[in-house]
Amino acid sequence: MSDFEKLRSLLVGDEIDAIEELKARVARLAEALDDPEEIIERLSPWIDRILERNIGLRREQLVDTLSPIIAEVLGHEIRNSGEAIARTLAPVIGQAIRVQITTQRDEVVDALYPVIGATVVKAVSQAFRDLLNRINDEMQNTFSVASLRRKLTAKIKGIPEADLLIRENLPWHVKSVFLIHKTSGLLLAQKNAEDSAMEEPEMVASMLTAIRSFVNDWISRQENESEINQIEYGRSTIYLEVAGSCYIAVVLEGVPQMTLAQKISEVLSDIVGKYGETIQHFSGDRAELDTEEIDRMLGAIFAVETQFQDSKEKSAGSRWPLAVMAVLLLAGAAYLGYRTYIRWEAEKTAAEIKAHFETDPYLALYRIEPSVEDGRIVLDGAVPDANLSSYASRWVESHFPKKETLNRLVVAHRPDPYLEKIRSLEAQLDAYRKIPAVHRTFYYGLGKSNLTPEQRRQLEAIGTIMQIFPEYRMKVTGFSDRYGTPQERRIVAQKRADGVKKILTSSMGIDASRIETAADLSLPEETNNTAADDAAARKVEIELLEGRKGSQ
Amino acid sequence: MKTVMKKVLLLGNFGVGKTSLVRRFVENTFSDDYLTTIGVKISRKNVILQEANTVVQMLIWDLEGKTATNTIPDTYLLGSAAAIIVADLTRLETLDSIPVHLDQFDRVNPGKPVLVALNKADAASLPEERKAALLSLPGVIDVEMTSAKTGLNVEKVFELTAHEVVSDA
Repeated sequence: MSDFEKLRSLLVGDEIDAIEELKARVARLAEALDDPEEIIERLSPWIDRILERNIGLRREQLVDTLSPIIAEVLGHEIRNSGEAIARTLAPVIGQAIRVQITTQRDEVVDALYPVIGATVVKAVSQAFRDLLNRINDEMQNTFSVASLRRKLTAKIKGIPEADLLIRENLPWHVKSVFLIHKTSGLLLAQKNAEDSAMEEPEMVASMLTAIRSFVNDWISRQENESEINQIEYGRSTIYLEVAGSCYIAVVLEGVPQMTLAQKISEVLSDIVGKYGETIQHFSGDRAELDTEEIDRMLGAIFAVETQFQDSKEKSAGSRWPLAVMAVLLLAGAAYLGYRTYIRWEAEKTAAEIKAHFETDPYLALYRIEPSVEDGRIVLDGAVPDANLSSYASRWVESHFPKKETLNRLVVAHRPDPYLEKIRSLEAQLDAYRKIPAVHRTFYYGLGKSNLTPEQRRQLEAIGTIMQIFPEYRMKVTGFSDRYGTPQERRIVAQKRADGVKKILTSSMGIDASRIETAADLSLPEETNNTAADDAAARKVEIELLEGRKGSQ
Repeated sequence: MKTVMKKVLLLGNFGVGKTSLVRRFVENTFSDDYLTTIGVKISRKNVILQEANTVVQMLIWDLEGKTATNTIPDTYLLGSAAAIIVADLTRLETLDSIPVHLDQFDRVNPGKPVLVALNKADAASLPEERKAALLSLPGVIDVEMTSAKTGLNVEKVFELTAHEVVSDA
């Protein structure tokens, strides 16, 4: 060791050692900084405290810092260990939903609605599919008259066949039928199904009436003319049908067919039609009613159900194996084919004969209808003489020698249909021409120039003739009594004639040129100037003329 | 013996004891709270009238008592053969409503008989002149003091009513 070194060792030896040690520590630190494992190990005991302190002092900053990554962290964690997260969250999910529902009920409903709706639809449609499958099985395995009719109904009405089958197969049962007096609720008649008993039907009738009154009273305050027609409880339904002073209540289970409702109103209208009066004045004594007949009529409502059951049983009984049906169908098809061929051949023959007759110079004028019946050629129609008739059948026999010919031609001078028509028209025209010329006189009150309503009706009847027969013309002559100057009398007479004309032209639309008016100042020839004579002088005379111009 | 059905109304303010009267009297009734939503209780009682050789099947419509009687719909009253109007002797104001009930009944069922039952007679009584005044009301054919508690005159009121509806017809 040199002196210098000795000196240095003496002077700063400790410091040098310290520096060396520091160097080593710095190097270790540098190394540690590069090694994250090391940092984590050293920092980890402090992390909790740092977080704790930050949450306490700088909560908001911390939230801001952490929130952007929370979703990411959770998503990452769920991807990696979803099951663990699920286990952790599971206990609070129920509670969370409850809280959510209490605070944000509508949102929850909105969110779940489509899901639940779909779930319900799915479950229901599955149930229906099962039902339909069963039904389809039934349809495929059986072939019956009823099913054929159902198929047709389905086609015609455009309803799926299965729907019809469901409707036919749902069971229903009429338990009881009541006929009740509408206002008092007194029981007029009642009938139970054989397997049902109704206790206290009188009280039930009163109750139903009370319920009806209550509902109708309540509804009628809201709307006009409403009626309660159905009460439901459990599986049962009470149908109410009202008419006149009574109503029918039908207690039944299940969904009935439309025919039942029709039957109910039919029975009720029969009862009301027959006993409406008696029922209206019913005093509570059933002896007033024809109970036997009413019972029988109510029984018809039960009969609907019996018929329904019967028809079901019958259709069940008439199921034939498919094979038998197929054989029958084949046989049917073969027969139809044969028939079609025969008909086709017959038509061809008839058409050929007809075509010939239409061009044959002797026969073309007459209507001869050839046809083929049961293999025979038949000639129908009419010809004017026997020679033509045998001429026609000879031609057929020579051209179709294999077939028998039946000549049904009538030898007759048939009247010309057009001539007949013309004659009938002429006869009608003659009848028109014979309508006699109408002469009519209307008398007026003193100083009046208006017709009375009765006179007006009579005038309109004449006007109608003018409307129907345009060739008719009319002459209206007005008269007046002896009072007044000639000028005044002329004015009054003319006014009466004009009044008549006006009615015909303005209210009946008759052309004014067809009505000629005149004022006549002459008085009745044999007048004694009495009041009656005066009255007879106040008049118009109406003459209906078959007045083709100039022929008046 | 013939059977005749009759609808009979029981009218009166709330709490006068209509339902108790019926319960004391009838054979059959729907449970008490039945149909109360529509304000009607229906009970049945057959009364045999020997001399008329008739069984009267009374269908008793106990109409919910309201202090304002007008709230009973007229439709409930339709087709009644008679009415029993009930009042409570311990609450004299219920007697004042009798003419109101009477009016409504007579308007819907003109000329039909009415009986007045003054209930809770076991606990109170009424001066004769008030009773006479009630009896003079048009349509009232009888006024009886009743008690659903002791059974006083309960049968009598309904039997009288049965009598009336048969002789009235």
